[in-house]
Formats: sequence, C-alpha cells, structure tokens
Amino acid sequence: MRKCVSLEDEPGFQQIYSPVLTQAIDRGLKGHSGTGVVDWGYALVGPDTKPGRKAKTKPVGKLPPTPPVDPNVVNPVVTGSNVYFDYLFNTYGTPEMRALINKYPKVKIVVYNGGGYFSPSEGEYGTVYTSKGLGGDVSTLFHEYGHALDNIIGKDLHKDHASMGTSRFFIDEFLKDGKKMGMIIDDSFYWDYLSKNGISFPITTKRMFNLNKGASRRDIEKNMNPGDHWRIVEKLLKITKEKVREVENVKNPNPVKVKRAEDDYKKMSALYDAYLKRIEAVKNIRKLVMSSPLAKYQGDKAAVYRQRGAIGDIIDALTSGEIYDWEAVSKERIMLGGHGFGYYNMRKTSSGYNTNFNVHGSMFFRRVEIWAQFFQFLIHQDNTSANIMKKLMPNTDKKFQQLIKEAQNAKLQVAEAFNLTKKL
Amino acid sequence: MMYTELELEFYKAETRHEEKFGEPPYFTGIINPSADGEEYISLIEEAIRKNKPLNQEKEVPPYLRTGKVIY
Repeated sequence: MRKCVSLEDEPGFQQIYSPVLTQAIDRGLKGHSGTGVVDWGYALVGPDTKPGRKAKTKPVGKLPPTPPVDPNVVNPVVTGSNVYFDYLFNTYGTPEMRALINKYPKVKIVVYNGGGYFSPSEGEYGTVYTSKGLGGDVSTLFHEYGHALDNIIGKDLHKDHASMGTSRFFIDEFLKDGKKMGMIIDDSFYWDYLSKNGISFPITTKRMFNLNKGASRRDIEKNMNPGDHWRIVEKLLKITKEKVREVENVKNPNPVKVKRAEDDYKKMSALYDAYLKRIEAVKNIRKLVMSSPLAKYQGDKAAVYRQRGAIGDIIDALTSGEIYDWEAVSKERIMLGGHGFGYYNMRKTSSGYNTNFNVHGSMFFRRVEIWAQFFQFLIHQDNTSANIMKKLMPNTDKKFQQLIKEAQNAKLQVAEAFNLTKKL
Repeated sequence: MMYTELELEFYKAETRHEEKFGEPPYFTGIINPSADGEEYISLIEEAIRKNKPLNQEKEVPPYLRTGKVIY
C-alpha cells in the first residue's frame, strides 16, 4: 500500500534549492494543458523533434557530440531541453542575457530543421522550434528565444494576458525612428483615394484589379497579390495626372474641379516621390551594412553572417513589406532579407493566403519581429549589428534597452526560484 | 550596390526559375539569400530539374499558415 506524505512537512524540504523542481511543481499545479487540471508537474511524453517544414532541405548528417559546458562560463543557461541549445547560449551569448534567460521560466525548445518559429500558444509560455546541425543554428535560436522572452516577460512582469506583451511598449519608438529613416511614410492619401473612387484596371496582362467605391483598407489589401501595391501606386499617379488634363481640357473649366484634381495629383506625386526616396534610403542602408565588418562574415560558426538578413528584416517590418512588393515589379534586388509577402501587412502571401485580417495583426508581426531581431543582436557576443541598429534607430534602441533593464531588475514573485545567475 | 557572391548566384537562379515557370521561387520564414543562398539555389535547381515550381508557402502545413505562429 502506498503511503502518502506531505513533502512540505518533511525536514529539510524548504532548504532544497531546485529551480527545475519548483518550476515543474508550479506548472503542474496549473496544468500543462492550461486547463487548470493538476498533472503534478510531469512533462508530457512526446517527441522532442519534428520533421522539417521544408521537405526538401538538406538532410543533417550525424552530429558530433555536444561539447560540455565550460566550467568557467558565467551564468550558464540550462534550458532543460536539448543540451545543444545550452551549449549555444553558453558559447555565443553574453553573460548578461544568459542571466536574463535564467531569471525567467524557460520554454520548451524543440529541434525543427524546417525553419525556426515560435508558437506562443503551446505550453504555458510558448514553445520554440529551432534548428540543430544547420549553419545558422545560433542565429535561429537567439531570434526565436527573443520571441519567447517577449512573451514570458510580458506575462510575468507586465501581467499581459495576451501573447507577446513586452514588444508592445516600444511601438511608438520604432514608428518614430521609422519615419525619421524615411521607411514609414504617410500614405493615407493612397488609401483614401482608393476608398473614395474605387479602381478597375488590368493590373497585369492576365489579371484585372477591381475595387468598388467605399472599400475599407482591409478590403483593398486582402485582394492584393505580391507587387500589386506598387502597380496601383504607378497607376494612381497616371490616373490623377490624367484627371487634371481631363478637367482642364473643356470649354469652361470648373475651378473647383480643377483645384481638386490638381490637389490630388500634387499629393500623389509627393507620395510617389516619398516612395522613391525610401528605395534610395534602403539602398543606403544596404551600403552601410555591406561596408561594415558584417560584410566579411560567411558561414562562421557564430552565425554573424546571418545578421545582415536580420537587419534587412527590420527594414521589411518598418516598410510593411513594401520594398519586397516594389522588388516584385521592378525586378531590382536591394533587400538584405526579410519575411517576404503578406507577413507585415494584410495582403496575400505568395500562395494566395492572407496571414493578417486587420491592421493590428500586421502591427503585431512588425513589433514582435523587430523585438526579436534587436534581442538577437543584444544577446550575441558580436555587437556589430547592435551598434548599427543603435545608429539607425536610436529611440528604439534606447527603449529596448530600458525594457531589458526593467526585466533584469524586476522583482518577480517567483524570481528567486529561477535565479541561476551564480557561477558554476 | 554591394552584393555578396552568394546573393548574385541566388538572383541568377531565381531568374532561371522565373524564366521557366513565369514566377519567382517563394520561401517561407526569414528570407536571407546572403546567408542561406546555397540552400535556396539547390532547391531552385531541383525544382527546375523536376519541372515543378518552388513555392514553400504552398507546402506549409495549414496550422503554420494561420498567423498563430511567429517566424
């Protein structure tokens, strides 16, 4: 017969220092499923790897055993998942950011060689899916764990019940920097004009773009394929120009109509110029990155070479994917990297689906990705990219540092249970 | 404009794909040709060889298309 004992009444129990056990008990009491059903802290049995999302990626050969953690490493991270990820954190991460990771509950990290992603709804704080044995393992892990911390800190420190609750605090700053950089443009005229007048024209040789008057921004965007935004911009410039000619070339021009048409053309021309100026600004950022030490890296173990693309992704987020849209039409290539079509706006992806159905959805992806890229640069021991971003986006950098500092200094109810910031 | 050699090779492969299928190849997640170009090129070459346009978006399981996951 099994004898039941109360562990808490056992002598010495209170002196046991085991963050893993404490975390397991806390999670157990809440229930892994999040339903509140007590499951006593046992991790559910399941595979810790998943097949690749990209079915055609190169197969990963047998990997050498993960080297042990250097005993002299400060603030070693023990994720509780595959030790390979502990090794990456402890080899390429900074001690300060390792301490931050240790301060908060850890998320499950699953090996996934089909492209990293973070699933905020899996587990109490989400689950990281990241690669093992590919060239960019370090950068994928740091980026995805940046998403995880956005979520964890948001829940534990900012008491935000929605997912990814930390990055929402620096939206104003990146919008301000984005405007200053020429990446974020006031395009309200474009949307207002389309909504007020509608449009119907052969957008490509094979396809018509039809829009009724009174359409909302969502209605307009949801039918846009890659490249359509730029095609419509060019068409609107022509339409507004022709409209001026049309109202002027009559026997008795109506001064009100002429004035209105001229105003529209002026605003559309100014917007078009702003778009072209933005293209030039993006080219200059590419030049800046490619003339920095970042340009020399290729295939290095620390995966610094992948940070060029990460800077490109910040540009992609700031411009709501509109540089890729321009590339699709112009066939010029200026982007260093990014998330492609339909991720940072409500337009269609390359497969014809829509990821976002309102402006908040697209803003969500913009802020969380900028946060994760900033975190990736901050945790990495190589600070070249962090310095570039500090120069390009000083307000965002300042706010980001402030949010990280708050998270580092916060007194959490469970903080001590997870504090592993001691030297081994 | 300064490009890495890998990027230039990738753009050439991308052009070959577009010439054959009438559309460029599409990749999911963070697109980073200057870092992952080699992998992209081999995927494009395979797509051309097998005469099937490359669009990873279409191969993504439905639950990853919903916006509930973050790349």
